[in-house]
Amino acid sequence: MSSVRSQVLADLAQRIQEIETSCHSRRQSPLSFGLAALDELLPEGRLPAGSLVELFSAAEGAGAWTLALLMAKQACGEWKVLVVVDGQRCFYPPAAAKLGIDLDRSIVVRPQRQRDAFLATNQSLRCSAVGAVVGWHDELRTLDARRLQLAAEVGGGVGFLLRPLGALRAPSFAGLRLLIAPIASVDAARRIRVEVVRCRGGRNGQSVVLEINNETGHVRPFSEMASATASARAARASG
Amino acid sequence: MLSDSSAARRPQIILCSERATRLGIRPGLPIAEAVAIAPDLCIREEDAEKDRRLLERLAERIGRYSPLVGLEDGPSPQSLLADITGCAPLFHGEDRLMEKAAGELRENGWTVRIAITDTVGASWALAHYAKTPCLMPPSETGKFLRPLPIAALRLPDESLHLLSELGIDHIGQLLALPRTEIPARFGAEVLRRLDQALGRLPEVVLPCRTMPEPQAFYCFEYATDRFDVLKSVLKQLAEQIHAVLLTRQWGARQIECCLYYETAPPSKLEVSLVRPCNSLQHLTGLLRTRLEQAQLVEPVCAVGLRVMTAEPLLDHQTDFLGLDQAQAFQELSALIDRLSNRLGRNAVTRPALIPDPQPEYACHFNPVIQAENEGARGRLPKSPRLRKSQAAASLPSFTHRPLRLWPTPTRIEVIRVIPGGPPRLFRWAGTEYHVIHTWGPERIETGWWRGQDVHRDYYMVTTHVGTRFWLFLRRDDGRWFLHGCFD
Repeated sequence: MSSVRSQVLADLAQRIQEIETSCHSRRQSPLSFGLAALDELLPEGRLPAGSLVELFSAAEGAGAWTLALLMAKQACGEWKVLVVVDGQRCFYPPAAAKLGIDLDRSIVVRPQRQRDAFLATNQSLRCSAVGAVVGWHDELRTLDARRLQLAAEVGGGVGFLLRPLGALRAPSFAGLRLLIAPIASVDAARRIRVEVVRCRGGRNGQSVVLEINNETGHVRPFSEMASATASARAARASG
Repeated sequence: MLSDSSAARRPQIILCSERATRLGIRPGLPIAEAVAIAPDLCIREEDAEKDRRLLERLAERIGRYSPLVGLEDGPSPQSLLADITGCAPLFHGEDRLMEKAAGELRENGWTVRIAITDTVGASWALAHYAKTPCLMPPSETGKFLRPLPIAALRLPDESLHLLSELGIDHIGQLLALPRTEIPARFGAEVLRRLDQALGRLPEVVLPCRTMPEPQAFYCFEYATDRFDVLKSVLKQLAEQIHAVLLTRQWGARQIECCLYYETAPPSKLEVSLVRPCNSLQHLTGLLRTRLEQAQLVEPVCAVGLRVMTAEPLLDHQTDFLGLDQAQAFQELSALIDRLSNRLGRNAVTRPALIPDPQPEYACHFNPVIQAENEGARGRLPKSPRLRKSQAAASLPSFTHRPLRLWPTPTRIEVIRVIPGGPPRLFRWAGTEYHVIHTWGPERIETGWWRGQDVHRDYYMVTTHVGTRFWLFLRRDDGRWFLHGCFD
């Protein structure tokens, strides 16, 4: 009986410490996004499990969903389930399958109302079988944002919240906030600039340009300088 | 002699007596030919329902030898299955039990084929294709099954035909093949039946003795519309049906809650679960969720709770390393139940790819808890082993498909266009987009069988701000639409 009591006390002490120091549960191992260029922006190259990641983009078609799904795929690992909360009913699984998302391990929740989308995200994040939750959240109250963060800490998964640029000013509890900006290119592989707006325990303001192949789901860092040099050499060569 | 009436155009013989066989009549022979051979034939039409009732009466008789007697699964069962675990000592051994049961049936004029083995599948196989009565020693299933023909595995005709064409006539030959290749080459059903016969997959004997559905009822002295009272009553009723489920070791899959009014017709609230569950806390939580969503027409005078579908609880022994996963998947079941009952069954889906060239039809969102007539059937995410083959088979071969596809294409205003080619400048949602590069066209002409054939030329375009869209030209009238974005 005394051992059970001491165990409970130890757990509670750890939880208090976690709350006080704003650090996540040590019982859950941190995650890698599997994208080396992006991992370098994180403290110790990994994101703590049980976190929220907010991705902001100014326009549709910028590539935020693609990046979120690629990161979610890594967060799910070998056996966990991906939940896509699709309130807009626009998520198209054939394209997700092309990115390497395992549809047999995916659940798409299609709520009618924004409030239901929050509820689905919150409940899914609390489930330890869910590796990642991806969804669009236009408006999120401060209290709700906090609830999502707590839910993620309970479940140990990662919540990828896709948000409009206007929400950047709203208070946030996310461990990582990324600003996604597309870069115009004529190549089949698309390029996006990923800027770290806020990273808990890391440096803010860093950015990286990623090249994503939508057909294969491959991601690699892209050097604008190298590309400009190559273009200039090609232009000189052509005369 | 029995004839098959379902073959309306060409009724044929399905079973015949020894005397008829001696005359050259055999199963499969058209009735007309049989009558030509023997004009005084006595022909009876097959009545599957009557056969079933007769088998059920026999099952009651066999109940003397086993507490759990059922019929084989399928629309027209022909065998009785009895679970005799622990019953043999009462009859001084399994051999004595078998002799006694077979003897009793023979005395009543039945021709008996009987086998006692470790599994349902092996019993069926030996009873049908081995010398009977057959008493298989424990743990020798493989040895006894090997020489039997492949039909002893209860396979569908297509699988039998395919195996026969490849020269696989005996179960031993099938067992010699690599296990992982069997589903891909002959279908998942072959492996399932093989595993059932060998005891690798569980197969339960469903008792044909119909047990009353667990149900509970509460009648108020005065009608009430107070939700706290209704919730309290619902909890009491849930406790009552939970006690019944616990006794039977069954879990509920579908529960119906009826709210009765004085004058209006009753409101029916349905709770569906992805897996059988007998957790009182979980069931009560789901029922409360449904009650909160209900709109009372008038004060409630009575509440009824009924388990519409119940199934035996599946207990799996989990190894130490898989303990976390098993616990997590239990949580996942509970999550699916909660979301499905709160947001609606159709809101919690699993995507399935469909080989349809028209993009909006190339994917289905199937409810995780299926709304089937035979009861709620759920499908949790599959194990990695099963996933491999299906994922490879269902992955489509298209090139450009956007991650976000509008359910209905949106009309856009194209300001500048290359004649017969892609647009150069278009306006959507009040914003003008300069197109700097395009891929396409991908011509899609399909859908005539749906009554709305489509003729579209799709282009993936990159705009001056770097965003990517999927546009198409409707070739019928030359209008442009935005169908999705590569977000």
